[in-house]
Amino acid sequence: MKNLILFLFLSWASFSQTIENDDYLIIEGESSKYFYILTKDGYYISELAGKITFKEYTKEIPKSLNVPVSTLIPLLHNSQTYLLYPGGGLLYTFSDGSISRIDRSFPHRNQYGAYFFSYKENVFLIGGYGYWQTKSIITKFNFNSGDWELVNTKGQQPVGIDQGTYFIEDNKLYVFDFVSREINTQKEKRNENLYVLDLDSFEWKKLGVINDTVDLINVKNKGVKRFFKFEDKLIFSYSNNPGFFLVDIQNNSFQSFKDEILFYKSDNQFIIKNNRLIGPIKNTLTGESAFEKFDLTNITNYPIDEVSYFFRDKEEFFQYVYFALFFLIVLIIILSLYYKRIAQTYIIDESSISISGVSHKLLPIEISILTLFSKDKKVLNSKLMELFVRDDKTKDYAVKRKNKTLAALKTKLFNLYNISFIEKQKSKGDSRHLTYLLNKKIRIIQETID
Amino acid sequence: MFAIIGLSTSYYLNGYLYAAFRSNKMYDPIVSRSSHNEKATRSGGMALFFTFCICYGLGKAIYSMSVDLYALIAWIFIALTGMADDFFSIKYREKFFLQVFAAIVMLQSGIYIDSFHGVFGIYEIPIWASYIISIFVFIVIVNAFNLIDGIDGLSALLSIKFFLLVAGIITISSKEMFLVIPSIVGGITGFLFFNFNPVKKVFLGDTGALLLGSVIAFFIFYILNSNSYIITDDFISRPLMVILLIIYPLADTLRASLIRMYKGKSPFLADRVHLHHRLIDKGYSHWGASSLILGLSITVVMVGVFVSSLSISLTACSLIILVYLAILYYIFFN
Repeated sequence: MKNLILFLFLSWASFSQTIENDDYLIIEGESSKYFYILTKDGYYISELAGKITFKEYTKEIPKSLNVPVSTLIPLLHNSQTYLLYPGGGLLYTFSDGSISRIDRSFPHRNQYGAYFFSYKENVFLIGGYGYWQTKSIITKFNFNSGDWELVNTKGQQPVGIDQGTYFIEDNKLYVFDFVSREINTQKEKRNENLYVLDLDSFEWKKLGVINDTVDLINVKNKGVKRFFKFEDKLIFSYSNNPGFFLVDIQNNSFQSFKDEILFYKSDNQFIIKNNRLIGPIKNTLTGESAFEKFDLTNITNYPIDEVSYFFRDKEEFFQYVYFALFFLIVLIIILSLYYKRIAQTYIIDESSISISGVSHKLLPIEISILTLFSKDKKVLNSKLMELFVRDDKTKDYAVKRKNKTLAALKTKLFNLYNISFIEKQKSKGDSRHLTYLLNKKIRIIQETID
Repeated sequence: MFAIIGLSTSYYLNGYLYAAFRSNKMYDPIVSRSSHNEKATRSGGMALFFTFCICYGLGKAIYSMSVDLYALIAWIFIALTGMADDFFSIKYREKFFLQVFAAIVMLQSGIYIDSFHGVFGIYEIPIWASYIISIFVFIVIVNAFNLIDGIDGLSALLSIKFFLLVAGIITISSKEMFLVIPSIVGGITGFLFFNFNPVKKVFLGDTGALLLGSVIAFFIFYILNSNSYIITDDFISRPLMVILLIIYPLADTLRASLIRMYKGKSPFLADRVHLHHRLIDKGYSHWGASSLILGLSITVVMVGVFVSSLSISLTACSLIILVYLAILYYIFFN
């Protein structure tokens, strides 16, 4: 930890430049030795060595640029700085100390918060939010006509991409951690997948579901997100979280790092120059913004987590397959036990007994006996005797008739189903007290008449 | 969570609908080819459909469950077709056209078979061929699952096996679609407790069999669509995997149709020539026959995956699997 603090302190100590203006935009310079800070009144040229010089624009800024400069989206493409009007449409260049409009379009207001990027000789704008909907459209600026053209895409295009994290590698544009909203009444929903767009064929593909750990980070922190490419990897973070995350999409790895200063205290404007991150830190007492630089060279030396997968891959697949097989085995065992229990379930109606749909006729007195066992598996002799006692006959006659009927029923059922249904049990205290028990494996259900 | 919601909802609805059907004396008629003699209702499919609707509504509202709208419409349409068939017995030709219509609706989702993935050396296929093949596959799968619904638990258990194995693929490539699977598996499991129950016996009916078939067909389209990211691509061919996952319904339907045609009968005739009927006639209980077929079909998948991992050609893989199927047939069904 001491090393980390010392490292972070030394990284910040050597560079500090301040400006008083609240509305500014930090953009890369054409050379790696300096960068610009644009304001409404003029611009600063800030050398990485530390010298900062204010200059007025050589031409008046275009009247159409009627929004704070901090809301413009900058892009350095072929040594030319482009500034995009928020929501898309109007496009400006900053060169030779002046801002000039180069489009023949209008404020689209259709792609707020979109990602402005370049590929080969073109500049594109993807996603964003406008007219109560999130967008997944891609528009390309036509330098000849000065207008924006809609690019047709194919494949598994996301419904809308707002607040996304983007990463370009070769001819692939990766996007994840974005929200979609189709109509105004719908709540924004975070898309859990990693998508890739082929920038040559403009074909979308869904690569897989993002690791749940990444999901948790996003749910916890709703702050401003920053992301940039660093050494062929993607770094992203959230403004109110003192940590950042390194993603290697090619190797499907993800790792969290502790960071007290890098993004946590800096504003959401920053540039990367010569492995250095340059961004403003506002002094809350004076209101001044100090531009600080941070050396990124060794930032991955202090991980706070083990490397984990970024999007679900083979390991998770096999884990799931083992779980599925386990679930299937458990289900089969449960159903077997259930089936074993119900396999000896007999149904009696007013004249017959049946199992698995096969029924056999029984005498009314036999049905009456089995009805008693359908209510209770243990039937007292006295209860059973009630079925046989007749006023005009002696009790002895009733006992004999009961025993005969029971014996006949037991034999009949054994012959039919090869299982003993009813057992006689004598009381331990008094052998004259008899109880009749239904076989524990058997269940008798009386079917009610509809 | 959705598996538990699905299971409990399905269990409740099956009991509720059984009572409702019973009070209206709406029992499944017992005919000569029936494998049951008890009074049973055809309410399982309805319970499954309503369970799915409830789970989907909940999943959409509180979580990120989502399936393409056209697929949903197709599922609902096919379930309603099944309901109509359960209540009024639709003629086969009418049912066929309704199924074709449902397949066309499902194609609008953009998820259909657009590649042979190297089978016969063919990869991408023209759009018109994609549509025709997808509709054909849809009809075959939907009817295959309907036809094997001849004994207790078979269609349901084989569907559970399919969904559990496919869920592994879907969980990697689509979290929102994955949530459909535990809902359906829970729903089928809840139904199974009634399907095996001799007192309150419930059948899937056409509603359930057609619904399950159409959901399975959609997931098969998803796997065979070249735009889908399928994690198993590295060790098994997509078409081979799909065939292995539904091997029993496919093999049984194909066998039954061939026997009928050989005898000069319509291949769509309902009779007792299915393999599961043969097991019942051999003395197996319904549970015994269903669980045996489930176990055997799992071993077929395992053998298929193992053979595919040996880095041999697709033709050689298919031949080895066919030999294994022939051995199984000889041992268990001959």
